[in-house]
Amino acid sequence: MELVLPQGIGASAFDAALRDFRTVVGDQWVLATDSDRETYLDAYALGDGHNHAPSAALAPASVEEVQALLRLANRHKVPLWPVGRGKNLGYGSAAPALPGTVVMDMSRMNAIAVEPQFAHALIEPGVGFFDLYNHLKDNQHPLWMSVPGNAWGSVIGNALERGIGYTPFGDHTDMLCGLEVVLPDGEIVRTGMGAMEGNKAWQHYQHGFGPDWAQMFVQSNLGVVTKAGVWLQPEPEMSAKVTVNLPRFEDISWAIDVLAELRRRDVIQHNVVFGNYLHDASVFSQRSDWYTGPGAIPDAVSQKIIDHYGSGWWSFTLRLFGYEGTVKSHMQVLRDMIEPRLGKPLEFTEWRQGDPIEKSARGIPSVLALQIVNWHGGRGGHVGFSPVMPPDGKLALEQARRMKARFEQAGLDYYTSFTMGRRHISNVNLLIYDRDDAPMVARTKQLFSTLIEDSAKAGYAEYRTHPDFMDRIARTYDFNNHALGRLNQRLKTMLDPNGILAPGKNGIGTALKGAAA
Amino acid sequence: MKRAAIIAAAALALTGTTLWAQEGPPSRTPAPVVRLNKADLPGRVVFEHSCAPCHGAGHGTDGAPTLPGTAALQRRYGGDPAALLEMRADIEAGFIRLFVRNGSGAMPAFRKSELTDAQIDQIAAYLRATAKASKRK
Repeated sequence: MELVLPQGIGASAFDAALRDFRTVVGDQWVLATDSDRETYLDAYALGDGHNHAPSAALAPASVEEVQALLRLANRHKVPLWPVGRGKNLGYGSAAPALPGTVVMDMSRMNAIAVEPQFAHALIEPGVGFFDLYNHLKDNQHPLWMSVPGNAWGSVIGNALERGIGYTPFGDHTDMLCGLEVVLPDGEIVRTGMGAMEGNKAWQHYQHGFGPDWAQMFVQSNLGVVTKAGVWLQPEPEMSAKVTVNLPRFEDISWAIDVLAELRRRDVIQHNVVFGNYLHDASVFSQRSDWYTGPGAIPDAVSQKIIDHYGSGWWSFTLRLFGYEGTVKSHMQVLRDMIEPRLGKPLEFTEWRQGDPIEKSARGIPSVLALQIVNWHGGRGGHVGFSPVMPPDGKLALEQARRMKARFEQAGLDYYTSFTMGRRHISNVNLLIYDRDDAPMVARTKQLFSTLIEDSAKAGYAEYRTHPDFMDRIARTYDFNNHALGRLNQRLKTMLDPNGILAPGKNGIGTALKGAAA
Repeated sequence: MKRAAIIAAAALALTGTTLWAQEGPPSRTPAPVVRLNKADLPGRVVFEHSCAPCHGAGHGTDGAPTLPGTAALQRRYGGDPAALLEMRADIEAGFIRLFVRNGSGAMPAFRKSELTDAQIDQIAAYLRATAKASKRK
């Protein structure tokens, strides 16, 4: 793999920087061979991924090493791209926005300190969901955690990207309480109560005194988070879960309205994946099992898949947690609200303390969902296009019709979820492709561009995106001539005058260059 | 030869077939239980931490019928050689390293910061010993 140097840095200057980096982390943890660099490419890239190729990777083991690396990066003007575990699959993995940027891989920083009485943990960014889950299990802490679809990832990294899970603790960013952050110049700050030396409530109250800067380090390039408090869920007395399958495409309309009401009233306390039939089919089978013709899967074939798996056009799983009286009463509310429209009884799986854990509604780490990239055979990948919209059934049906038509025009299979948050829907559309099929990759890129334009016209924008599209999505946030982008740029210039920290992350520092500033 | 081509060639050499071992598209039926005699070697801890979530035996505690790595290899090999890595005595460390460092299909690459070369050697020794012990009834 050809070495791509950081912009404006020559080979000898780059070598000098690597020599200095080695004095901090040791020879072993400056990863700069061809094969090392390849492991940091985007595993699901649209194409070969070399447009985001890193020049090297550094793997620090402590906050002191992170500080030293940032100071050296400033001295050498070499940019760094921090990643927790580099498993942000579908959103670039570990690959930097700008080619030549050096990845700072935090995988070796993986300390966990759990406070069982208060149901929180203080962790480092290298801690993955499997690690935290196993730690809680091995130490018999009666605490549950929320996990996303891909459990290989970093707990902190996922939260900083506004990732979600599917329990009442599933809004991962909101579950952070207290960050330790190294600023681009190497100075350490702590947010919330941690801003006071020796404060005993760092993981108890999120905001501290005065402005709470924790959000400044979410989806940003203004600091490197080296520790975070994470709130955990005390094991409930009971849980119940039920999967609902809806046979018709149009069922989305009434179902979203019912679910939105249940979420507003806090009967459903978790993010609900309201997904189409392709969720199951793409995990358990490959496209060629069903269809080998041209274009997107026809509706008649979709129906065969639905009939085979009994999955319905749409399906979703609802979960209830708490004391038995609460769970039972909420089960009755769900029956009253859903069964008349469904025309059949809901079949709950109940769990009580001491029952086998697989019966519970607990978040259990899994990587099963990764199988969807095998859909086409070959070297697969996916990117997510996820505009945020109001939780309204009519709007959701219109959006589904519009998106399905666009996927079909592009000859790609429509994979979607209308994931229900507290007061919004994240309409997560996965564009699944074969990375080595150049025409398919080109159609995917074109579809993504079309969806950005369609959504902007409809008044929606993405909450998170792949580095290929960060500048474009940032530019869709255009109120008052991109006032937010200009504010971000002013902060970036002030905190990181050399631009050494994650240039281009979410378009900060790059999206408005040459326009609108 | 390009790295991707090397992997493809290696995979083809081992697999031979991409057919399902069963008729029709796959179902969500849980995988059969496999009895393993796990070798008490350092590689066991490494394998169970880094590999078993995908390549382990049985079905997932999340209700998945088969763990995804085992399912993918079952699809690729049709059961011969075994899809379960702990039943494979024929895999050398160099071969494991090729897949670990490059990824394959849904499996992302694992970096040296996650799995060192020495740990991959330990995994290979563990798999070899476990497969031999498990076949010896």
